Amino acid sequence: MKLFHPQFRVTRSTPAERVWKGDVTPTALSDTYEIAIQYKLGSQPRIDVISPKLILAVGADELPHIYPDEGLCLYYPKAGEWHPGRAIADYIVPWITMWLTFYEGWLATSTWHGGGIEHGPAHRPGPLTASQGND
Amino acid sequence: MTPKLSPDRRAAELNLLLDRIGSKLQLSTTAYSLAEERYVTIGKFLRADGSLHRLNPWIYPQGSLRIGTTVKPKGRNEFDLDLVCLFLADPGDFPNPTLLLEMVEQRFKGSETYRWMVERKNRCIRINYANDFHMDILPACPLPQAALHGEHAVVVPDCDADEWSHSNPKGYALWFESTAEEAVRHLKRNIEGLPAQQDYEDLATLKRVVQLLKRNRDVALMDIAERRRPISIVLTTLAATYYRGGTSASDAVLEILDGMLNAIANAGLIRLVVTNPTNANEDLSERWDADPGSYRIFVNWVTDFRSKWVELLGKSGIHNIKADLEDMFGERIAREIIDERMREIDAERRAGGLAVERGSGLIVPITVSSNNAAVRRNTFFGGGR
Repeated sequence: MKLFHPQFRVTRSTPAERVWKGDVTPTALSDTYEIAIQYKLGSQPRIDVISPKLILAVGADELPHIYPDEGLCLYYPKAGEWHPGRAIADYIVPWITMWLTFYEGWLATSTWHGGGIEHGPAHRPGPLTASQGND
Repeated sequence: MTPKLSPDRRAAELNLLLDRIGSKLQLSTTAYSLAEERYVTIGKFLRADGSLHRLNPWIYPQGSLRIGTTVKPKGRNEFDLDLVCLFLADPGDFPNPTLLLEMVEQRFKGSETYRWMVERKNRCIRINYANDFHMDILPACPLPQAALHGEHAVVVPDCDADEWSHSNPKGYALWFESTAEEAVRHLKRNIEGLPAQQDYEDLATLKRVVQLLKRNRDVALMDIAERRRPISIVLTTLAATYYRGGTSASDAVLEILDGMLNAIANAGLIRLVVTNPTNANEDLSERWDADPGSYRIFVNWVTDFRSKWVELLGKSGIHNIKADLEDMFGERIAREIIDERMREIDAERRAGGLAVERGSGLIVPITVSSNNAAVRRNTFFGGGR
């Protein structure tokens, strides 16, 4: 993480859990967002936007690509886009940047340009199974 | 949140958006070619055997068409294109100037093609083309003057006053271009120490600013009668006068608005006077005398635009910037440029061309040498709460 994204500092570190916090400014005209990444061994990482508070586009009832618990929904678990063999710095952090970019675009024009799968409230995926996670 | 990034990167991104706004406002290349085709045809028609043949009429574009600062009128789909039709005649040959206009009108009316498209105005003949644009043709006779670019000076009929008016559209365009070029040369010499090489790009910044000024005038003063809004040639002249030669449109807008505000302040209780650079006797801003309220409208408009511009320069958040651009230039155009930019970013992402910059999280193009984290393939998931 330090190599690619030195702005992320570890704020909690136990054998079973890591939390990083850091600032991300996705584009030169974007706001700067404080992000928390929580990774518990055996689970999918959880990403939260600490500040500024996420808001809704005009006319929208809900944020796009968010879990019910408000964590960002960055990838499609069934497609194996992330698993513990893949470094969070490598995979997750860039996706956070893209999410924030498209989020601002969505706020601006009510269109989410990042594509993706949307079908009702998603359940946060459960613990990883043995079949996932070989790269 | 205040932006922490270098101003250059913010400026570059904002300038990209402004450039695209300008592109959307102007006469498209296809429409431009069509216009050119059409006025060349009109020229041939007027020169052909007939009442005007001996006067060897020659048509050339003037105004925003010539200078390259066309802006689609708000709420309409038609551009107003201005042309000059130069007749090799001595103005003294005509008992009154209106006669020249009448001769041109008659010539058009005698043609099956043009007779239904012709409309006579105070100084020009308008040819209406359905849907695209109309062309205003200003008949003129050469009358060289001892003034800037005076070799191109002409007189044109003013039918209401039944007299000849002095004008110099060609000279004006040359003044505009050379003023911009000199500003750029001056900047390059003093700041960059570079040889003054002329680039097509050099005039592009000033032209964009003129477009943005005109457009904001149309949007902000939408509810005010058109004749009370500052006229385009006044805005164009002021912009060229206060342009300092830079390549950043966002900076140039501020410099030019500040230049205008300074000039207004210096004019004090008397109003600012904008004379034609090619004819010191012509006050381009004379309407402000007849209608002092319209001067107030102009001053308030510049003041407002300037303060909104400063706010825009300090804003962060694409959605917030879009809101400002919408307010200044119109909802549809602001939304379109953001949608296009987002689609571009998504396309680059899917093509595997993006990375995230070390330390800031900024999206940047992938380069072989950098140690930035690449943006990998993903599918955003989840339906929200």
